[in-house]
Amino acid sequence: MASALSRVSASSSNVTKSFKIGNNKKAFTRKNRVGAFRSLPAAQLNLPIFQSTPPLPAPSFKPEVVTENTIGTVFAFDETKNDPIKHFGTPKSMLLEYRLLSQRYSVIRDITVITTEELEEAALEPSHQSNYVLTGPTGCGKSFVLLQAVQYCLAKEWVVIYIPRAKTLVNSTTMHTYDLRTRTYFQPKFAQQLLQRTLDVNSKVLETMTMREGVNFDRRSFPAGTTLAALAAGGAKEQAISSVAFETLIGELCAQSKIPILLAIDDFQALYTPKSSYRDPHFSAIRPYHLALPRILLELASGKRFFQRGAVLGALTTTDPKFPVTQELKEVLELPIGKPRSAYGRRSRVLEEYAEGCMNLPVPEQFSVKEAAAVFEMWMKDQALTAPANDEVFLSKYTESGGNPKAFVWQGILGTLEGASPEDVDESVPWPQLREGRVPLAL
Amino acid sequence: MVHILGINLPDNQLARFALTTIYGVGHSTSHRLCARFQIHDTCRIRDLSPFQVTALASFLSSPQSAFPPRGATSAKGGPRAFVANKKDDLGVTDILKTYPLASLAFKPRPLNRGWTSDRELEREWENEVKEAKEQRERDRAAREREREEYLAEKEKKAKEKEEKMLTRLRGRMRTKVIAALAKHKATFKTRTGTTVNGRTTTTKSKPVQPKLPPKSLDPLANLTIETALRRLVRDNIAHQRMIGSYVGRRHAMGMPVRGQNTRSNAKTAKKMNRVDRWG
Repeated sequence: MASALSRVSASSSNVTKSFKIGNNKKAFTRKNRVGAFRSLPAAQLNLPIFQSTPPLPAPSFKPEVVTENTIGTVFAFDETKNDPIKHFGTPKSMLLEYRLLSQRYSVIRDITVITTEELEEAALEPSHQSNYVLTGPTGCGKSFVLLQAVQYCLAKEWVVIYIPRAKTLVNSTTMHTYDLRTRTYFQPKFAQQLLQRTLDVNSKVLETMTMREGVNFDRRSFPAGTTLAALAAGGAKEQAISSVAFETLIGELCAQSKIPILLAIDDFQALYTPKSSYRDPHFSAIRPYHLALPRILLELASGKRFFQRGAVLGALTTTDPKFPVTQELKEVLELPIGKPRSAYGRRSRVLEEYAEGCMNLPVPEQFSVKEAAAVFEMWMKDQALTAPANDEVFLSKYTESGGNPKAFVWQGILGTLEGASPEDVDESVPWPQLREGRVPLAL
Repeated sequence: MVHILGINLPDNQLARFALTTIYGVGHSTSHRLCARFQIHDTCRIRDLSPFQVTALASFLSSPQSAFPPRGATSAKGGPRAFVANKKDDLGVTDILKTYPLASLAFKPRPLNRGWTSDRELEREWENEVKEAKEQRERDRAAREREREEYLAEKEKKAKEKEEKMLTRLRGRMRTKVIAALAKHKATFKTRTGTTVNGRTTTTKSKPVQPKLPPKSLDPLANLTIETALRRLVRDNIAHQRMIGSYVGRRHAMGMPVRGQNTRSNAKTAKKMNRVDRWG
């Protein structure tokens, strides 16, 4: 982990923040406060405890390695030019984990193999036959499986659109303006950013695809034959046309059948919230299907619009009380409904229609012992714990967390105070409490 | 730095919070103002467009005379020219003009057919509203006609049954039954307009009540801020003084008005309470 600290600090660009709180006003800025675990610069890590040999790099994650034989093996996502983790971002808990690790690791699980097999089938079928939603209890690894699917498809040269935090679309944190033609609310800044990110990650593939029909926006026109990369670039540059450019891009991607498309959405349940946090001028809440971008995502997720080849993959987030998983989604995905259902309970017929066609892909709630052992070893190599990496520690952490991946890592490994016994203990000191640490086991 | 009504709003502040610095605007009014001008919750003052700033400033300079918002309708969906508040039986209506929201099956006009002006789209929407209204009228008329036919049929059957019963009766029994039926009909309200007890009534007619002028449900329509609000407060206190009430006397003495303790802790009242109170 010490090497992780230095490596992360060396590679990240916005690092040199001193932690002298008195002098540095930026220490408590929002950016620094989010999630903590900001790394110190390498120059400040002089003490012997920070010195260590960096672990051997793990093998790269590639589509060929995802097989049943590699279940329980750790692979790392490479830092490529079109790295989706850098351009699209990741959910917050994953971001914090990757700040601590020296490489962007992930372990291959049986659900990874199942998902990739489904995606292989989806590459030849229209996407309305492959609308999957990863479900499972809190901390079972849905976001990680989604990220693995994104990396898999990208390596297979699909076009990948990954939205890691879909709740930012509905929680009133981005600009919105009403549009009379579509009778919905545009979110120009979000659309602009999404186009830029999609372009950054998929530029190579988008250069090969061209528009079938020309379009004429208010100030810009894109004739037939323009590459989709040029369309995305135009939309990313000008906020005024970004929303319509994104709508056009999706239209073109739906019409073509050469390249499969993956639409990956984390926080999937946020799109099905009965009321978004936005308010219209009459102060009534705007529904998510009256916002242009979520409407497009809902239409693709329900099969009302579909890609000729590809899939829509969503992952639920169960930890956000502001955007819980709604009744309509629970019924379609056949999830257990907590409280007894009442005939008078409010339901939305529109959301029921938009939830139709979603298929459940359950993620196992426990790591298998082999998978947990691989994850344990990976963290130990990064020196997350100063305790010796033996079976006793591993099994105790596995049992305490019940195999739940998030609990195993955060409470088991990172949340424990267990450490290695100190090596220099002066036996001659008469009072045990004055000796450093405890007496070693082997006397 | 944005100046609204002479107040300097710092760039870094959330717009929803910055608006509360205006006297008379609290958090709920500020939320409504932001919704009116399509300012999202985490918008900072520096993110406001010049149009939004001008619109806000012009609205706040005279809230009473501002036009109602031209925004989208509420979630009930469907084309409507204005929203009628169904909860209120007094006929209080919301007089704000509304614009449409896309229904489930709505397909927007494609872009490659050329750019359509807003006026044309508005006209399309107005036509839809008109057609929907006409359709509702036609449906209502059809339903009424059906009901009329059904009730006429029912009355006809009842009359036939009565006649059939009367043909079976003879003599004193027959006269008694006819008299009883006549008495019953005299007090029974029929559907068609019949003179009963000297008063012609129909079940359809209701007593005519005078229609109240439509009140606006929108709190922003009657927004009083800054000088106008301070004047209002001062006028209220002056009125209390003029009528010689307890409240007026307490203000004049600079003491607490609402029954607070004065043995200790009346410092704010002693500082602030007076007849010509500023805010």
